[in-house]
Amino acid sequence: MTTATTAEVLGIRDLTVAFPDEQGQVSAVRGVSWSLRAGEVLGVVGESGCGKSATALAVMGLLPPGARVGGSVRFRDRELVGLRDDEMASVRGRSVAMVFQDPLSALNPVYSVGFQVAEAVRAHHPRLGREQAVERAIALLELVGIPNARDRAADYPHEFSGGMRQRVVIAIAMADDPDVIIADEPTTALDVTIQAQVLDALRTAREQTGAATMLITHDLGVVAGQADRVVVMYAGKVVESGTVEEVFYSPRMPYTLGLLGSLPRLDGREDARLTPIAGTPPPLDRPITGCAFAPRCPLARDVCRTEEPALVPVDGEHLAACHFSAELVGRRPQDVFPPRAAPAVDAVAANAVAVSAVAANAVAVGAVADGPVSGRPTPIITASSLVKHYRVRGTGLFRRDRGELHAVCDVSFDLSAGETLGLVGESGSGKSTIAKLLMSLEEPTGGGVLLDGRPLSPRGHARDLQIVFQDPMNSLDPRMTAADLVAEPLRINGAGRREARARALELLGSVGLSGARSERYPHEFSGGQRQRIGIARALALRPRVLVLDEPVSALDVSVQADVINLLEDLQDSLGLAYLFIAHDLSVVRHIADRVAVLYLGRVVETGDRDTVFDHPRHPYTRALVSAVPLPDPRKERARERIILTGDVPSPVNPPSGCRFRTRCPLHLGRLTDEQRSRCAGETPALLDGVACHWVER
Amino acid sequence: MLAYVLRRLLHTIPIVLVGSFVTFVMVSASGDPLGDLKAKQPPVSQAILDAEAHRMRLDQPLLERYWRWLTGILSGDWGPSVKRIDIGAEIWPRLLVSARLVTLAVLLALVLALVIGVVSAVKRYSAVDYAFTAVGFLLLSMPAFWLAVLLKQQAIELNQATGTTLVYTVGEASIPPPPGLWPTVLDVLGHVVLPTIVLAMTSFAPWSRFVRSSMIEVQQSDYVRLARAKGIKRRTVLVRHALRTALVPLTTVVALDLAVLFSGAVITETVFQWRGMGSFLLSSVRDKDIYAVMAWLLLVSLIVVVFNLIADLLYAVLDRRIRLG
Ligand SMILES: Nc1ncnc2c1ncn2[C@@H]1O[C@H](COP(=O)(O)OP(=O)(O)OP(=O)(O)O)[C@@H](O)[C@H]1O
Ligand code: SF4
Ligand code: SF4
Ligand SMILES: [Mg+2]
Repeated sequence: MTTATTAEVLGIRDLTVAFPDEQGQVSAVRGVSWSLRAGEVLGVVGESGCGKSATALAVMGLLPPGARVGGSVRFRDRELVGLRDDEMASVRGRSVAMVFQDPLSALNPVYSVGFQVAEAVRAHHPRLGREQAVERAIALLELVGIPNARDRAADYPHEFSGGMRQRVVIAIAMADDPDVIIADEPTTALDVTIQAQVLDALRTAREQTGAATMLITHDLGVVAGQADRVVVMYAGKVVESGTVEEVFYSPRMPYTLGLLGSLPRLDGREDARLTPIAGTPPPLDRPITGCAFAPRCPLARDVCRTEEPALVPVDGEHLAACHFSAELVGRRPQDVFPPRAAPAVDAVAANAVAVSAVAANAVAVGAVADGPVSGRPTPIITASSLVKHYRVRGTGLFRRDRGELHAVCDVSFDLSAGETLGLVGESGSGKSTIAKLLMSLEEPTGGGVLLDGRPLSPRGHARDLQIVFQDPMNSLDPRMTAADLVAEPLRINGAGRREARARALELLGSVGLSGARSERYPHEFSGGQRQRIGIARALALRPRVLVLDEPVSALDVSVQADVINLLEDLQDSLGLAYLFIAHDLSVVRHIADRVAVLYLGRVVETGDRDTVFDHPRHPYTRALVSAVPLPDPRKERARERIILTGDVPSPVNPPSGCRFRTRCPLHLGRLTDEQRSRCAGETPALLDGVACHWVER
Repeated sequence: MLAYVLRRLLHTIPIVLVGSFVTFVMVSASGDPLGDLKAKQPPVSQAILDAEAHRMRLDQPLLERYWRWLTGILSGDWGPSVKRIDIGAEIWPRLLVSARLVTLAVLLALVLALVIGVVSAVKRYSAVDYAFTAVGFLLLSMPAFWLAVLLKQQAIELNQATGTTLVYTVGEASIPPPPGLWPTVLDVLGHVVLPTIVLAMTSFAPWSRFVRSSMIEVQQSDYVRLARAKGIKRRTVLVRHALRTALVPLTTVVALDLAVLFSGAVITETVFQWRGMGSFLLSSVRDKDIYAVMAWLLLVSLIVVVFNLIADLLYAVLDRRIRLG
């Protein structure tokens, strides 16, 4: 870095943000300071609710009315806190631009995309002609990689996919050549291959404008790959900051160390157990004395509870806020955060004996019905050639059928006791439809599912197969206590009141929610705890198979680790089979034994977990694996990324032949025309675990 | 779009048919059109009664009467009237008079609803907002009839106090009209003021509540925040992004309220003694003039149907996410 680039463009000093509410106020940001230097990328990480967005909005002056802001934000020499709204308007877009999290709602549905970009171009140049502004807008759209930008500028936001919309938002941020771009979770809502495209567009924006970037994210992998320096926030404060190498390789604050340890890793070779951080961040609506992290910190001592640690240098520009940061030198997450033995799983283990007896029986039945050929145990579930089409209606005069939506196409797999099959794929790949087919919530168009070698009957399987959903809040009745929620399936299946209750309490104990907590209502639990209730409820009928549909994707990493560990423990003690559906490859790599990669309803690659992730063969799997950011700055920067072009095509009338061909680097690259025509004409069969005509075998 | 319009119209036909048949049956059963004639003293001869019954098609079965009425309308024949008027010739000018009233009332109500809705959304929870809310609920709970009488009384007193006729309280225009174009226009305006206000008052209160709540919602949306992040002035964002989007659903609300407005017009026109659709309906009902009542109902329901279609099309033009289908 040259000396010029170390100049501060945006300086935040003792910034506070408070939201008044009925009881008093929520102190969302409790005095943060950092400086953003010219040309650099500063990563800001932390769990949900730690004040990342509030800080960003305070800089932009876009907090909702009523929010109270204190401290100082300086853009070069200009103080921004306390500016009138019209003065702030001259700063926004020109000096500091912002990219928001949710691309689907960020654009106005009633104006064309071109108009909305041109509007940003003209915001500070009112005298620029309408036509020139549109020309510039088209150029910007081209820069961020919108194909046929000239034609597409007239389209409306709903005609763009999420990834494309986010690129439009980035084009808007670039429009007036800002000096600072704040990107608040710019890729959180996107699939991983699309995330790679959007991060690429952000890099373009950076290069074109030379802007310094504040990249807010909870994804440590993204920070490792993109940022020069990083700030870690916790409960409205900065707890650590430094270069990415310093913070990732030698964290000096227990929270940072814990975060790194709770992260499942795509490159994690050994089956290291995750180290979750117990508990949840403190509520911000009452004063915090001492270190905010103390209730969750294994190193906490008396002084931590009374004296707040200051953010002080531990090594040059590496700052940390911990009384005992010196003790962290050279320690690994598992040294500091002892992996908790799941408390009461043993209590359930007694029951498990009975369950495994049933399972053993099933194996016997299965063996008779369908003799296993290989050394693999007899599957509990066998799905063969599952097909699911949905009809879509057209909009013509007589609404003829417009075609069929091919949600799932010829998907086969099996699942044995004690085993986890990971189902990965981007949105629209058919993951949840497969879950629904397994649960008989949908009728398959073709193929079928066997349970112990017999066709699934909609009623009979209820005990053996249970599902856990993504959003714990939506799947639990808010008017029932945790104990009632777990007892409900038992009661429905004829258990007596006292019996059901006793079992419910036992189950809640086994997922770590014992005692008085069993009488609380869903909204009184944290997200991770709610997901535990969901799991306890699914376990009530002693199923042998759990279908887990994105069970941890709504959770923060430290909490997610906790749920993953719980699932692993339950599997060990109960011999459960899991169908684990997730878009997060790192989580799947951590928990699954085998994986199947889906693309547009088809399995493109399947096999043993390590083989698929370490030596992906299908062009799609390769791109997918390469797109997952690793929370390791050196590795991440050394990696070569395969960035796919375009979006996933519509599952209505999908591409003929190989469905991946419209984005396949191999197909679009070195194949000859003759080879290409085979991709278009013939659907590649799943041979030896890979569905591609031209992969080296 | 065209396919959609056609399909919507095709869907409308059976609804209008069934609806008109049911109302035809009900209106026919509501009383004997010859009742007045039969009650005459001295009594009229049976021959005259029979002739009148034949003229009113009462000697035919109900189904046939309905069929003749329906097919007649298609060829411009609205059916016989007890009062021996030409229903078609009578109703069109009256429709124009009422349409003028309803149109002006809708415009006035829209302007008021927008201004008040936007101001109270922007200054939410301020004294202004609370004041508008209070006035709105007051108007909502006030019967249109009472408001009309109240205003009329005030206007009469004002006219007496000033000794001139600033606003007219009777009729839709002076008969004969004053000479010259400008005096005629002013005369019509002077007549239209009070009824328009009365009719607008009944609609604008709920509309302004609607504008307020959708403005509040839109103002908190991500795209309004992004628009502000571009560096556009707050006021421009308010109009271009917030109001424009908040307006879209208002089209539907207004179209749905059109039927209510026509009913309101009946009351208003009666109080102000207009020769519009209102007095036409009332006198026809009083005289048990079946075909005249049917003509009124058919016209008003067609207007409502057509405007709902227009509102839906407008909605789709204003918001491209809406796929007509
Ligand atoms: N408008 C608001 N009114 C009241 N409280 C708010 C408001 N916006 C945010 N908060 C609170 O302020 C705190 C910080 O919120 P903020 O949105 O900055 O978190 P974040 O770090 O961006 O989280 P996430 O990762 O979920 O986006 C939270 O406790 C949140 O509930
Ligand atoms: S100050 Fe104490 S409680 Fe806080 S992180 Fe350091 S050791 Fe833990
Ligand atoms: S079959 Fe062709 S298009 Fe499909 S993945 Fe292989 S090379 Fe690519
Ligand atoms: Mg946020």
